[in-house]
Amino acid sequence: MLVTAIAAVIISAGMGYVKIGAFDIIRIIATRLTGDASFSNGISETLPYVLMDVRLPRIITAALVGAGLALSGVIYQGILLNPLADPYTLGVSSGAAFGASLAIIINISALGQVSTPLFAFIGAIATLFVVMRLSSFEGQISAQTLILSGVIIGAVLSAGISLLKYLADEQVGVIVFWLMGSFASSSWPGVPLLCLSLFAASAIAFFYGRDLNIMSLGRRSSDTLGVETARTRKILLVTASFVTALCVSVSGIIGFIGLIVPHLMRFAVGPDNRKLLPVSILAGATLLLAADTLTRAVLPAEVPIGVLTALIGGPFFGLIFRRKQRNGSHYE
Amino acid sequence: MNEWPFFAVKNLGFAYGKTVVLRDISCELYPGHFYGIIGPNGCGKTTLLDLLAGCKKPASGTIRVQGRPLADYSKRELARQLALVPQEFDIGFDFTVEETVMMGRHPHIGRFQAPTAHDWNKAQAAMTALGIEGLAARPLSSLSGGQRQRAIVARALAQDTTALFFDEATSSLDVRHALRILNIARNLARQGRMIAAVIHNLNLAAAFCDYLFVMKDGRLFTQGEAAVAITAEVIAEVFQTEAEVGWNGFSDSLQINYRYFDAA
Repeated sequence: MLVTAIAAVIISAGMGYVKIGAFDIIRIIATRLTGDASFSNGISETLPYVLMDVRLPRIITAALVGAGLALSGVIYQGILLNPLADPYTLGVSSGAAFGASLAIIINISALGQVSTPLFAFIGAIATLFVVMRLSSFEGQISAQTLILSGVIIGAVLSAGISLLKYLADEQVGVIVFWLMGSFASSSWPGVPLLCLSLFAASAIAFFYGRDLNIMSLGRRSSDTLGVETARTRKILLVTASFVTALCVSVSGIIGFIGLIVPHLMRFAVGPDNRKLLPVSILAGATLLLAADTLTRAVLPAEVPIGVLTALIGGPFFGLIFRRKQRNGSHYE
Repeated sequence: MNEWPFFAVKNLGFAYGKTVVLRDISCELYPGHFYGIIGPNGCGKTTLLDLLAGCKKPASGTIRVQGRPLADYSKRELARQLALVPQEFDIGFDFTVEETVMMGRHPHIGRFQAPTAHDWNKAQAAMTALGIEGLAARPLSSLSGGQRQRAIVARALAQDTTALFFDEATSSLDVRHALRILNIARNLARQGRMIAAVIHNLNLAAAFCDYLFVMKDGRLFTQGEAAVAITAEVIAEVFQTEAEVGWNGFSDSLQINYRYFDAA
């Protein structure tokens, strides 16, 4: 899986308006890493620029976001005990969308380029906070009230976004474009932050992997099996939502990755989260990168990535789902 | 009887919001006994088990486990002392029987440790005791209700605890499977474990439990051995049902006959 993911990075780096060979890519990266120019002897001078400053930030961001969404999907599905859950179930995406729309419409430029992602992030985290407050009662958070609270807050925020679009006039296009998701404006500064939080979130998720398995038995059982269910649930929810918020704020709303990747991988490796988490992270990275490369380099015009993932992911998922049903496997 | 109770409960009370479900429950539970908790629907039986198992926090009163306040135990420490077999069981994802039974070893295995041979043996022995060793690799969702419930009992056995709670664990099973599970529980009690079971079928409770707690409206109505706790008077008072209680030679236990039909 890891090899596939790395191969996907290198192959997609070569694709685009200017073709670059895989070997040249490795040489250019080696030059940057070692500072030794002899690695890239004989390569045209524009290629390193295209690769390092234009393509790689976008590619790495796409892979990291794919990994993050898949990771959050596994966690959400595990905690909410609901295979339909995805990183957006709790309304985190609506919060981010509302924040971003607000930033676009009031045209905040004080913070320059980062103002939209920043507002999106604040919106997402604020939503998470409200949803968790709304759904906790006497220190407990139940899966059902969480989903319900998420739906309620999501509905309110959607109405808010519609209102903002209505008020936006000519900026409505910018909002719509942001909502559909894109990696076109990815740049290096976002990468370390994304990388670091993904790393931390994966570590937390792996730490609680077995607990997450046991939590699928329901709270009474997991409590009596030695899992601090209430606390673990909160920690994992905040972790997954933080990652989702970060992903949404750099890329807009990209659907389906967080929903289908955990499912597909569960077909492949079973429900054990200790295996499911790592393979989903790698598969999410590969899949979203492939989708982004498709829209960037293969298709004649750039289709919004969120539209593309849903267009390809939906039928694909339907196909696998049907096949699984025909084979007599139960899938609830 | 052991000198120290495994559970010592004093003036226990609990409420959901403003609705009081349990008040002033005091009792002591000792290892080596099979306790039955009986009472009408909604009388607080399951809540009592939840409180004893540490799934809920009491509103008032104290629970001590082996002399130490329950609140002082971490979930992990507690899970090495007691296990719970729930009635209905809904697993979110499709784990196999063996994976599910192995979850019973969770409180004994360190966070990043792999299960040891000892853990595998315990899981294997639990599956054998329930007669489901042949189903080890099957996903839970492919099992019948009886097989699934046995897998859950096996999980609790694998947990290897002194105390085992059964919350209506046999209510949805046919008579053969119900008896099989109750006999396993009875043998465990004889080997020195402590069993506490919420049981709806009074005949089974009278036959298998050696001490009963009868609950009504969140209080302990009476307690004692079957001959004391299950009488026609108690049944009339607690369940508002006419019954006749007598010794039955064939079942070798107290048995209850109910008046089934309304007077015409």
